[in-house]
Amino acid sequence: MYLHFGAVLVFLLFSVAFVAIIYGISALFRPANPSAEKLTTYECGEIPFGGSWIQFNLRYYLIALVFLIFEVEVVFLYPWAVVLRTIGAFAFWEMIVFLAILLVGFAYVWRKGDLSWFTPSGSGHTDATFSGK
Amino acid sequence: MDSIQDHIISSVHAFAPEGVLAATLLLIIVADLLPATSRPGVSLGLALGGLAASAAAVVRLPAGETLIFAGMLATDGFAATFKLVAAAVAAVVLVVSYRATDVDREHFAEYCAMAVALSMGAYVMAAAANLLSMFLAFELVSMSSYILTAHLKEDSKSSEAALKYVVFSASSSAVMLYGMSLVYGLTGTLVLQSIMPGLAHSTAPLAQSVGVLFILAGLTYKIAAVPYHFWCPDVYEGAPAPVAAFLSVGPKAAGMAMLARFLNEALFLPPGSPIRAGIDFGNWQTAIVLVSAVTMTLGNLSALRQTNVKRLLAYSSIAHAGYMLMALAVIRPFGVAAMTFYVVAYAIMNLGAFLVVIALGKSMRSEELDSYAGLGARAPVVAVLMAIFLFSLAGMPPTMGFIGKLYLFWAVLEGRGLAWLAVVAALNTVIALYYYARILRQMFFLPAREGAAEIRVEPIHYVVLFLLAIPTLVLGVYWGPLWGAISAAGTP
Repeated sequence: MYLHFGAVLVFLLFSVAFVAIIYGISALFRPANPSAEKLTTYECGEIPFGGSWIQFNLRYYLIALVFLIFEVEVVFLYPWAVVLRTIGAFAFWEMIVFLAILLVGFAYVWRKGDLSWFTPSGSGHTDATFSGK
Repeated sequence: MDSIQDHIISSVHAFAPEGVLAATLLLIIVADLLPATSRPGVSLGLALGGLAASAAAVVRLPAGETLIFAGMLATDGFAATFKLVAAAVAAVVLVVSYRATDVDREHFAEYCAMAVALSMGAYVMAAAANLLSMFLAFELVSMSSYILTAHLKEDSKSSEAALKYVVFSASSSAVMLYGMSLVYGLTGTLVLQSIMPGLAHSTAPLAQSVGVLFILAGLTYKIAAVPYHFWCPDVYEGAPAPVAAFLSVGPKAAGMAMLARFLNEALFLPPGSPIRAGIDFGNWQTAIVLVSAVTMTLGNLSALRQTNVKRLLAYSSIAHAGYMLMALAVIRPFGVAAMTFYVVAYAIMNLGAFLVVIALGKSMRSEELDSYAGLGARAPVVAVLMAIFLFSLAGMPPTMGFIGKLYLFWAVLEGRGLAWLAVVAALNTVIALYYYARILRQMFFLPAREGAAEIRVEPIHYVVLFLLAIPTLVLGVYWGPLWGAISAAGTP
């Protein structure tokens, strides 16, 4: 039984050794010119400013959650579309029920004002920058 | 393809109770979105209607054990009993919450929706016969519990309690999931009934023990048994009082049902069974017995020093989980029936005791034990009702708690070699009597403090208090029909 895990052990040793060898070879052959810019955080070519330890707007989480729900919905739609023809009307109505449940959730988010970046209470523009409040 | 599809379609009607609850949840949300129906009363009415309809659907389901959705859920009498308990508990909690101080009326629709979601999770927990459906139901109950705990957004204690709950619960779920994955890896099956035969063929005793122990760890978290009880007092103290009442009864009953099913179907073999696993059921019985003894002792000893009534009731609910586990260690059907009877008794008397805290909270604005001083003179009716619930929790005759304990002890004494556990439980009953009596002493023998608030109790709270106190007393002298129904419902 435990012998089956021997393959896992060999794989583990091999992967550690592989990484060590690759790094070793590149350390031997590459030029070394350390500079301060090389240690900065990579932000898609932009020059980074400020610390990364900041509070940012809670609304990003809500948007991310809503996005995730509809992303998952699409994941379910693909296999459904493949077998729709073989299963027929039952599958169609089943998916309609599923979509209707998600739509209620969407309507809820919308109606409660979580999709609008302008606060409905009239307190002005919601702070959408990374500065937080 | 066709046969699976037919099986699923034919299973749908047996899923009607849960389906009704799902529809109720959506209805509550939709009604809240429409300006004309966005009122707390409408949400409450919809939720109560949905719970009643689902309970009716549970009763209407044909009796007899059937597995639905390819063995995912079992719809037997045992599950039906626990579903009815879950629906009744949710209904009582919602009615009480409607006029409670620490429930946000502006977000009452969300509160109702989450309570319905929790009940739906409890329904599935009671019926889950597969590791996968067990985990799904477990998570549904956990998530709705967090949201209910965090219901008071402005109150930092409520948020703190919810955060503790999330962190603790997430780690216990992860441990349980890891245990399930080990068991699946060893046996190749998720179906509870095939786990023991599968384990019998595997040759990795350590992985077996770890896998099963981890699953049991997740379950003991849900019923707040030692050593997974730490979340319980903090969450009950921080959560709104009606939510604490709900959490102390609803998820605990569902957890007991799931644990009973897991033990009976996956671990405990009938005597004389040809299957012999590397570790036989005796070890699991020992584990449950030890957890039970430690849980009731630690819960009761910790309750002795509490000064907050909600924390005191939290530790008392931990101790009661220990009493219920005691009967589960006995494999015979009698043990399961005794546990179920005690769950019903516990649901009634514990909801009653919490409801007193809720009803008084409106006038007293305090949940400290010494604010109950002189309550016997300030609000005699409530004080007497509280005394009934406390006597029942302590297991004094002539209350339902006494009969429940009687059956628990009886079940334990029928199990071979468990007499010492009965002795431990008896000693614990004495300890428990002490701290329940502390509340009684505050209420009846100490004078009220200077400037103590005048007690005013909502009429609806009086009604529900009486509705809970009457069965506590009546079932203490005339429990035959209930016991008959529960033992006829059978084991998982």
